[in-house]
Amino acid sequence: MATGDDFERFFAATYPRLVRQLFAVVGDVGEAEDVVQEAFARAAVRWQRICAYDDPEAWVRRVALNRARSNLRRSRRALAALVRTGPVADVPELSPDATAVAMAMRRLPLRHREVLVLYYVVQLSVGETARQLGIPSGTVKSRLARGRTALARQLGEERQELRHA
Amino acid sequence: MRDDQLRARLLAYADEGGQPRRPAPSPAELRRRGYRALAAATTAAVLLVGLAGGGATVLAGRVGGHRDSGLVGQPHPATLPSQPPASPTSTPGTVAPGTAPSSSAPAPPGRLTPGSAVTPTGMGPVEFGMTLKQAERAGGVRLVGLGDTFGDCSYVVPAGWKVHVGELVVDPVAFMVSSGRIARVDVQAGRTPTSAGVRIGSTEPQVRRAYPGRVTVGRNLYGTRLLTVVPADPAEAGYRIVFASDGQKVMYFHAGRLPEVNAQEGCA
Repeated sequence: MATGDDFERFFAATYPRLVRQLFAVVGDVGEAEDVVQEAFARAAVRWQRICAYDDPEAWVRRVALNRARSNLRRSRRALAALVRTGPVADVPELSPDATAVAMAMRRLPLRHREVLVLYYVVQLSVGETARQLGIPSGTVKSRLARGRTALARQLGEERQELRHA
Repeated sequence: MRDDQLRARLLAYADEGGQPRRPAPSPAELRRRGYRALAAATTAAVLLVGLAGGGATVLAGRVGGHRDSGLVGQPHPATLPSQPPASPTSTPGTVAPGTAPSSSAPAPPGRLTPGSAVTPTGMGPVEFGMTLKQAERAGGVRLVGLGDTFGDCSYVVPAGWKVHVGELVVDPVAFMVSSGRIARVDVQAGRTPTSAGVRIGSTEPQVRRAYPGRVTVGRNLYGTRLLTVVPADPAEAGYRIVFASDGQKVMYFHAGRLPEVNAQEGCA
């Protein structure tokens, strides 16, 4: 039986983790908090149903990812420059290594970032990543391969630039 | 760069930068936001899915009735999630005088009622693919938005259809509108049947007997057991009826065209 206490416990246990995961996708902790909170607000009023799921966290994560994608589409023009080259919008002081990863991630398309984060940060399998995003496993594999290659290349370049500097 | 190195760097990046910076909202605040989103553009509609109330009856008239009427006529939102789900055997509520027809009453021909049968291609006179106006005209009902819009996807409910499930007032039926057209119907409470006689509270064997050889069993991403009916008619190949089961009985169901019928989060 679903209770308000269940939802409170679920929220307390998963909120920080989901913000961390969504931050890795969107690169902006304020936006990550917004989309995760919005997803939890939707979960709160559907809790009777969602609590019966084996993995309610996956529901919240998927809705948050949907929201992030929608936000990006809505403000694509404004974000385009930021996504590729601009300064970090709402990122706390990061170490040089994390800054390099942030810059490299921001150069990748969102669809590649989603797959990379689900696979490496959330640590889902290829199949689980495919189910989470509602795409075929083959698409996950190809996005993973391209994202991994691009990220590794960019991080390699960042390292070279630092070395030259 | 090796795979484990990449993983380590991404994890460190997420840990370092992804610490929430604002205080987390309270669960009560989240519920308020959720209900505000649902009530933003509508009447006192609350889409409480999964409240399978086989004994629920239709409440008189409309609750609220104005676009900005908020949550009039409902329990305080903060109390709702703590309410137990109604059992299919729960005692029916009372039907007030002058009400909409009982959800189990036979549907008058040509008019959409809670007793109209759900088929793979529609509900009563409302067919998937109709525009909102066509559906309202065909069904003789007004369809009001739930305000739960995501991109070009939203939900509408027939005005005045409400059921009591325990202390809750619930929309028994909601239609998904995708790109301006009715794409699917979600039956989440009440006695609305399919054309084969399955309804909330029906057992899994009853579903199989109603749709012999056409039921495939699976689970959605979140672990809920789903019994999916593939229509026999090739002309209906692009449609499905999906029953969500607790392992024994139907908790709720939806029907619609592909791909919307498989959207596990509705419009969210």
